[in-house]
Amino acid sequence: MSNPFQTKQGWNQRKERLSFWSLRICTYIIIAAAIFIFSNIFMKGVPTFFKAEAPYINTEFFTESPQILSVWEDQDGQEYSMTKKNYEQWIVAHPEKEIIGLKNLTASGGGILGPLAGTFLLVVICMIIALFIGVSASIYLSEYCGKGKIMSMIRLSILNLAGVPSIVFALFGLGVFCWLAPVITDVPKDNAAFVCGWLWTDSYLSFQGWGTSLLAGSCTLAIMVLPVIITACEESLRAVPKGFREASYALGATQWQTIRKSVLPFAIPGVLTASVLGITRVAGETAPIMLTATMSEKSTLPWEQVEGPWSFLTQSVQALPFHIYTLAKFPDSEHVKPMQYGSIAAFLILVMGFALLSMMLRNRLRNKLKW
Amino acid sequence: MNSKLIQLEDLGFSYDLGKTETIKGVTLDIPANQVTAFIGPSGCGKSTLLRCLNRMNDLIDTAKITRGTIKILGQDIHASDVDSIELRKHVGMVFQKYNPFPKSIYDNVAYGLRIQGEKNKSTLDEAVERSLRGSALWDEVKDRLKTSALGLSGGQQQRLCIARTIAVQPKVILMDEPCSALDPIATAKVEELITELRKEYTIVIVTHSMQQASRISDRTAFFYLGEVVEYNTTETIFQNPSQQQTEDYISGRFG
Amino acid sequence: MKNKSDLAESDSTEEVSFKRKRGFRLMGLNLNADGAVKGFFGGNAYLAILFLLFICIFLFKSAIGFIPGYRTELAEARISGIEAANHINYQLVGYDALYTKINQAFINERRDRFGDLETVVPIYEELESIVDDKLEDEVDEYTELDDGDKKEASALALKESIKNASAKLSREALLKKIKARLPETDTISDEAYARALIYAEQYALNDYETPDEISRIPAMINEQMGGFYKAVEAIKHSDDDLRQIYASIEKKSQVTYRTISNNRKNQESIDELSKNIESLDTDPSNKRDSTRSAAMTKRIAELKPKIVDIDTAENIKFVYNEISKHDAAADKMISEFQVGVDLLAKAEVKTEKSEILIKESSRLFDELKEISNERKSLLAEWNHEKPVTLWNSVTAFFFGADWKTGSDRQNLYGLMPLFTGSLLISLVAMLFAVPLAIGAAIYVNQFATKREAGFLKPGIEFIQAIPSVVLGLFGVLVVAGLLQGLSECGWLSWVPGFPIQDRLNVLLAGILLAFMACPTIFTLAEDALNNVPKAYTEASLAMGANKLQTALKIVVPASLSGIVAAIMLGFGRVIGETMVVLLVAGNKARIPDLSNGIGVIGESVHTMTGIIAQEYGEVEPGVLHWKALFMVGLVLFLISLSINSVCQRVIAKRSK
Repeated sequence: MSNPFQTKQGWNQRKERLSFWSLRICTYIIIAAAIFIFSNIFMKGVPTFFKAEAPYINTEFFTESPQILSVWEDQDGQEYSMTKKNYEQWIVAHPEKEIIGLKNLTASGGGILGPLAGTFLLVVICMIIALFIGVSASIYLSEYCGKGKIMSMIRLSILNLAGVPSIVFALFGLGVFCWLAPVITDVPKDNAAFVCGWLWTDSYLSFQGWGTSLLAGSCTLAIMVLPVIITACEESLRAVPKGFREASYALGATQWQTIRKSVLPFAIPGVLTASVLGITRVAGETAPIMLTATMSEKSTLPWEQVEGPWSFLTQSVQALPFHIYTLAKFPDSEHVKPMQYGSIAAFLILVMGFALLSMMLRNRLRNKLKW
Repeated sequence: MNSKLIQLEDLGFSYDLGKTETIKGVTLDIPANQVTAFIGPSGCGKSTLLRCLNRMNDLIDTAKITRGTIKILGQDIHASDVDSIELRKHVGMVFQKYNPFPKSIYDNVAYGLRIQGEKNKSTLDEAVERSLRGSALWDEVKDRLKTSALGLSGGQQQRLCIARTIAVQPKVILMDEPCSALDPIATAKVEELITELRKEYTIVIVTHSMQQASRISDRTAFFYLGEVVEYNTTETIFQNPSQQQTEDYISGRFG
Repeated sequence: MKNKSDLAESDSTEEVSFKRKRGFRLMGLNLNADGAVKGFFGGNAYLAILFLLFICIFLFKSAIGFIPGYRTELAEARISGIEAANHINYQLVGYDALYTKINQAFINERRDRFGDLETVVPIYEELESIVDDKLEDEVDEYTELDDGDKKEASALALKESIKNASAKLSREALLKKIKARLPETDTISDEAYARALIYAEQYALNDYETPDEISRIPAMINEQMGGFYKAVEAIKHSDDDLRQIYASIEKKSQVTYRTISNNRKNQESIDELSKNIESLDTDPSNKRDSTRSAAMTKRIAELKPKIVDIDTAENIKFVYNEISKHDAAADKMISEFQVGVDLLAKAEVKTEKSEILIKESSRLFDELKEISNERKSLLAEWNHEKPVTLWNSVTAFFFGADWKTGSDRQNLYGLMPLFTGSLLISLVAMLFAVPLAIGAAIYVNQFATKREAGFLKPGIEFIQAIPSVVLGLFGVLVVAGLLQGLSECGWLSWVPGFPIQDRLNVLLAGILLAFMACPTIFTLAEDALNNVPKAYTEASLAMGANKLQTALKIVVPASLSGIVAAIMLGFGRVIGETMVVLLVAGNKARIPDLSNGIGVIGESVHTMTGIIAQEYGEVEPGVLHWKALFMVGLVLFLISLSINSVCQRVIAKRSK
């Protein structure tokens, strides 16, 4: 007598195996594409960080700003590529050589210190603004105001704004911070939207904008990331069990005492994760800073040649993502390849580092804080 | 006066700004230093009423007292100059699901005193010891006061919550089904504790277990659909109820 | 006893008070610390909300001025006659497209028949330029020599050095240069090379005169092409008259248009400045304001002479005069073209590719005839004084087929090419992303072991953090080449659109964006699958269903709305993506040619996001171009907002 429970090799089984494998292949195609991209970038980019002789690390790449790269051939067909500064010295040193087919490539020589510093400043200032406003707004939204219809509408619109394309925020930032924000100046521009006297001084309060500047870029990024931070922080505040609040109130704590002592401490890891997530998003973003903060060529570092904090904030900066965008204009030049791959590898390591950090934080949070 | 520590007068309460009343005109006097139990089927408003007593319902936006007054120690607790926070310092509460903060045992007990501004270490130590002894937990935890409260067993956690409540020395302790999440042995301990606490505190307890009410309470109020059907000494309620509904409920014919 | 208890009670009431403690009094408000804290947080919250509200208002405000502004420009274009020129231009554009097709067919056919002979010319020209470079100095010496042995010896040496020079140029390098001229030549035959070399030597020795054989080659080939060549020749010049009319209208109307619009802009600036001056303090003792006022008065004085008189009536008369010649010229074009087409039909065609091109061109010719008739009647009705309505400018924006900026001519702001480009790229991206991401979500949620899911999930989520600019550059550097190489593989030629002409194209952008959309769709879809109660799955398994049946019949239908929301949010993300499309979509603002069917994926397009990123640098705030970019931004904003709000509602409903 046959066993009624034994495995049957029917059409259903085959169908299940087939779909199992096709679904599995779908999954691994995505993973494979990711691995392909990462390995390709790292394999071609990491060699830029090092060099053959001591000290083995390509210090130039990390300690200099991008410079013009000159590429040419001499009469013997020997190819040369070096930064423009070095090229000018080279001509003087080798008067006998002929220069054939000289090309000057923007931002393709030197290193990435300037863009790195610019990105760092943009992210830091942006996060200071966004966290200050975002965390307090989320505390207000989750702790102080109720669940009225208006409030839930506001919440929904904040959530919706989180999905608006960054280029729209960029356009807004360009219009408001670069061209409309108020400054105090002696000579207002003609195209200022509104000008009035500033208190009793001889200056004007002119709504002419901050121009392409660090401050405008940071503010644009902050506005862009604000919905993300508010939503994530509110979520982590809401995840604190209601019982903690009730217990605290029942012991006669005021609302602020309750928030400070028995809500915030338990929401801090979540807020932290949200802010690292925010940093990941902000650091990787190109369009907003491209419109509002950056320039591709700049010989000075952000802290050089600055008179006072206001001129520091209103200078334009270089930024790593925009630097990469500039490099994309030379898709075919072999001489730009080290700079291209080096820059994207460095940028990827930076952003991925933050992403990894936020994921680890989140996982630790899940494992550690269970109530 | 002694028999009227808490006076409810024709109290009405609504969760939706007065559209429907959850509590419909309750009048009760709760005496001091006794255990008063609220019993009744689910949704009859007993927990809601309990939460009215220290104005925990203020935390819900749409909650509203529709009529009547609550007086505790002769003061109307909804008077305009009454601060719900000051009130809660005197009317403590223990919740259905034990909810210690994820802090150390010591910090949990000291929480209430600290938010009142108490910083003196020896005062805090003393208060913590007194409260833990008062909740019969001292012997079990005295060696590990600095460890996380979440490491305690369920019954211990609930007793810790009681200790946390009595640390601020309230006049009244409200207990919202304090034993519903506990096993029988832990329940017995908490019940024992409640009997002890009666000497110093006025206790109002909501419970689903009629045996529990009969074991620990001095007076019992039976609620049904937001109204007090019967309120009397526990003995009377359980042995000689005057209302048919009460008798049905107690003998398990409904609810 | 009684007394005592009374006392105790009064004590206790004394001691216990629920009264509110006094805080600071500030401006009549009873402020305590709690209120201050609440105020602080609330202030920040309202600041955030106000800012986000301000974004919407600002976008609307900046964009909405575009409609009347564009109307003014359109009206100016009409009054100056540009519109008439455009009517003619449409026909010329149609003609150009058609001629290109036929010419392509011709060149293709010619290459097929006389390819070898044909390559001789460019090879020769390459060599010639080498000879020019190489012998610049030596020839001088050579010509100075007297006749005789010496000269002969020198000539031999010269010959040798030419050979050396040409040998030095590697065949690959030569091929590369020739490819730039003859895009479809892949190889140089030895014969052609040798022949070109001979001519090159002749050239060097005969005082830089192109040998007759070389100059004769093209004519010879054309002659041999017979009817085909005649057809192309007939078509080639059929548009001359029309083009001339177009050019003269264009020239005149451009001058008028530019003058009118500059006058208007200057007048606007003057008005603005005078308004500003009025708002200033007129009291001369106010030094600050009086210097400013003086500066602005000076600006006005500078601007005033720039406003020049122009006789629009005279100009428009000229335009009408030219228009009267139009019909005849258009008819001439069509009839001459018809002659060519007839010749073409008789001509002998050998290659398949040319045949296809000719077939296509006959369809295009029908279209051209239609366009011509349509424009003829439009021109007959054309009146420069007909008012332009607001609605006209709205439709000109939303349905306009051209986005042309940055030239001297009238700027055209038509959303269609950008919108269709964005849409096309997003659809291609979704085509790849949806099956992959949803498949992965089902696999991870339903089939994968816990350990496998433990690295698959974070692995896919990790992709989200790749900055788009990195992906864009990677696409330009690596994927573009791979894709083009792949498209040229013979065994893939069945794929529509292959081999791909443009290096940067819709397919490339679609693939990269699909990769970006995968984690978004995956995460949300996986969440939706996860939210299906365990009880459903267990019930199904307990009935004896296998995992696949449970997944497809129970879990996926139960989470369908969530999956749809995930797909839509992925779409929203893709359509709003900027850097990738800016780098890899090719940035050609034209409506994709859907007549190619699916082959359209090989074309270059422009996108709504890309245009903003590309053109923001060229515009001053407040000008029409600026407002046009804001209009595009507003459209993007509304699209993403509506997608998001629908999805959030779906997700919110589900999580209840």
